[in-house]
Amino acid sequence: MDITFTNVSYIYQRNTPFAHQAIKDLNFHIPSGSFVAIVGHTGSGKSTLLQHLNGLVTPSEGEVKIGEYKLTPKEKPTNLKELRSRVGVVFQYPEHQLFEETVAKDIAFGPENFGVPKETINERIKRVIPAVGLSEDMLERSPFDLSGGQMRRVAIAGVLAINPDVLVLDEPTAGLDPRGQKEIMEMFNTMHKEQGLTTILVTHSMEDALKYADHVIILNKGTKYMEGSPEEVFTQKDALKQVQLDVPEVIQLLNAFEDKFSISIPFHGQTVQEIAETIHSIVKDGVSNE
Amino acid sequence: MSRKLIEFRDVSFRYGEEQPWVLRNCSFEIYEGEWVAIIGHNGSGKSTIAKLINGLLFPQKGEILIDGQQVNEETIWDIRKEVGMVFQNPDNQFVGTTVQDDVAFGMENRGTPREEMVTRIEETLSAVGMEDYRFTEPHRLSGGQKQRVAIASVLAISPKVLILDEATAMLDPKGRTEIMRTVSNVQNKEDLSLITITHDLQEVVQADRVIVMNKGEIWDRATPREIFSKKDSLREIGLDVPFVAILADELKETGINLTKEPLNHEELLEDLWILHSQT
Amino acid sequence: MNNSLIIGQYVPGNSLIHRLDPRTKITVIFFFVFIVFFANNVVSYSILTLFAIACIVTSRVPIRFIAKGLTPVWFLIIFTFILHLIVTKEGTVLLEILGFKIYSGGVIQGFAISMRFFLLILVTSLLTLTTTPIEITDAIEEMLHPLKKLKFPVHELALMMSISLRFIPTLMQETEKISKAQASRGVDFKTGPIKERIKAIVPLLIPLFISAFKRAEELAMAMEARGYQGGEGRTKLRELKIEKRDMLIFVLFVFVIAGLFYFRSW
Repeated sequence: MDITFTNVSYIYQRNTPFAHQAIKDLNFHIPSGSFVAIVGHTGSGKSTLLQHLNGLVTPSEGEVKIGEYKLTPKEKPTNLKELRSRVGVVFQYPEHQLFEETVAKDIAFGPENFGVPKETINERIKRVIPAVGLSEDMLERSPFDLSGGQMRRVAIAGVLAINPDVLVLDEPTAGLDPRGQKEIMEMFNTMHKEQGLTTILVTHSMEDALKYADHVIILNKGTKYMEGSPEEVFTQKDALKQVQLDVPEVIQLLNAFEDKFSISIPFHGQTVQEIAETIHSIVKDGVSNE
Repeated sequence: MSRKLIEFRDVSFRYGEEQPWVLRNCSFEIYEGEWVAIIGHNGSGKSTIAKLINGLLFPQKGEILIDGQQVNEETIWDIRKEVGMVFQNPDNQFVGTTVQDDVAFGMENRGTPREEMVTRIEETLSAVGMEDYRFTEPHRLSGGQKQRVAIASVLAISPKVLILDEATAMLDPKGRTEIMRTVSNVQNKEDLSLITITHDLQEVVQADRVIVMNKGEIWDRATPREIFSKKDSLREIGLDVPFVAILADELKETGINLTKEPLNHEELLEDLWILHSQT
Repeated sequence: MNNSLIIGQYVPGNSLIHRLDPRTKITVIFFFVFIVFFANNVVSYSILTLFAIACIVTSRVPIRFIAKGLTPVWFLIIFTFILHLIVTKEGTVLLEILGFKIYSGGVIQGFAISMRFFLLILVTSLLTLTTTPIEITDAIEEMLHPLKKLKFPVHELALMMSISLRFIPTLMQETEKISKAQASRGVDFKTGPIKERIKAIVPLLIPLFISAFKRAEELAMAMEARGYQGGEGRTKLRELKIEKRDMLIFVLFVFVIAGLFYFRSW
């Protein structure tokens, strides 16, 4: 499903002394099937943007279109539930939403609410459990007996079982250790490719944005600050610095290299090995030239 | 070498008779004024060490000495005066209704006179850069700011050891930088031993020594530089190798001889620069 | 985003009333509630009303906040008035509606009683409008202090209250977060038959309880690590102090009481 934001603003507690504008005049388009990273500081409006995608809030001004569903200040789709069954959201620390007695029941909770027949749900459980890296013998256990990382996977399985077309991920790796982080991100990446999902990743991690996304939107103070391919966005270090965002480490190093050697190595998605070879030739050429 | 401040002698711990051991036969020392980083993946036993030092848990086997005093039921209150702790979740350790009330909490518990509290609050809040927030309520602070308040609360009781138990794990990158900067500032100024517990290898660079935990056992102890050179084994135990170390390896593959394992970009580039300017 | 969160109805300010010691405010209000029942004529009611108005004006709390605090009780005040109008059968008949005779005594009685009611609510809501919940907690702790001798856990009670106050915003944020997460999994909190809506609360309540317990456990550990071992030998940063302005209010209030008893009809 294509997603389009047209002049979207959102104000919390409108018409009160506490009114607070979370997003302001936001415009962007996400084509179906893309992997988009939304990056920004805490308070940049990321989570408000995310809530629009699920109809959890409706814009104060402007229009949000998700496939054929339309959200405007005046109209909320009557089929909000249908929208939610097609856009799955993995919230930050999703393990906090677990509540059922068994893992199987918790995974089935979403699809049941959306009226999916029982047999289909069971098929889906069988499919998502290995996809999130859990084993079937966990299905009858209480989710609260599992480790934090496993609970997170159960919660993710619960969203996947809804079978969404769009997957929205709000910092899905927060609080995990490096191995867990990597496994989870790889898992989403595989799913994105295999199932042709539209994936929207809200993240603080420039590294993840660079590694997985094909389009990056940078938010700052509720407005769109930059947009483009990861290579385009992350090579603009001065612009990023202005909003106190770091560039991914590869690019940081290349920038530092340029400062020191006065030779620029433009970044266009090379592997570490390729970069090492380029550095090698510069360093060694320098040696042979003298 | 300076005074031994913390000593673990063959310590083993588990939560119950039937439970598996969380820590097995751990022995190590931490010296006065030292910065030691303890790293390991989730469940490696690293946080248990912190709780044992503070007497929040007691070992089944072995003993723990803090400044020569054994940690047990009788000594914990003295020991908690010497050892301050900052935990992972910024919200669940903020006791006070405002910043200054939270900083005061530890001092109130120890019967510090009010006048002294007021001065200590000012001192410690400015040490962590939170002096403008004395009357702010916790829900108006960011995670990083709350953790800085937590550090100030610990500093207020002038401990000898400050333990950060994954204090940055729930923060955004900005908050993380804030905390790491605050911590190294504080350690420079005050005469403090520092134990940082983390799974982020970037955060061990500034430490004097690193203890690597795996499956409840001490897997390695070394300087950060030595640790960085053991990439493959670090990956094996679920830790992430910093980019600079990966690049250094690739450079070696291409035939560049680096003089040392670089800890950061500057060191790597300096090394390359020397190579470059040599004939 | 959460800056709007105000616990209770406290309106920040720096007026004389705001700065009074909370114990002064509680004491005055306690006695005010008591003496309202002694007012029985125009002069005595006027004295009390004037006092209440003077307090409101000094507090500089905008009228709309006070009115907002009164909204839930308007109904009660009017109901009391009408009840007395119908039930009291004293004095002369003023008029007759639908067979009910309205007596002059009923009007006076109804007016007097609803006025009492109105004054009570006005003055007590002024307390919560000008005093932070934590100040009220401190005052209660201080005022209950003598009960410590009877082994009443005064310190623990006060600490419990202050920690609850501290965590109300946190738990409210959490509630919002979890309800959104469940809404996104297809839970409908807002429409549908009552039975369904009650069922929809379960996926909200269970995670909330679990998280609250986890928070409590972690908080207990953090408090212990910071040397908390009960109220014994503890000092306090928050200090309540009776100032000149408190004495002034007390003196003024004594005059109010004296005036009331002098002018009321015996």
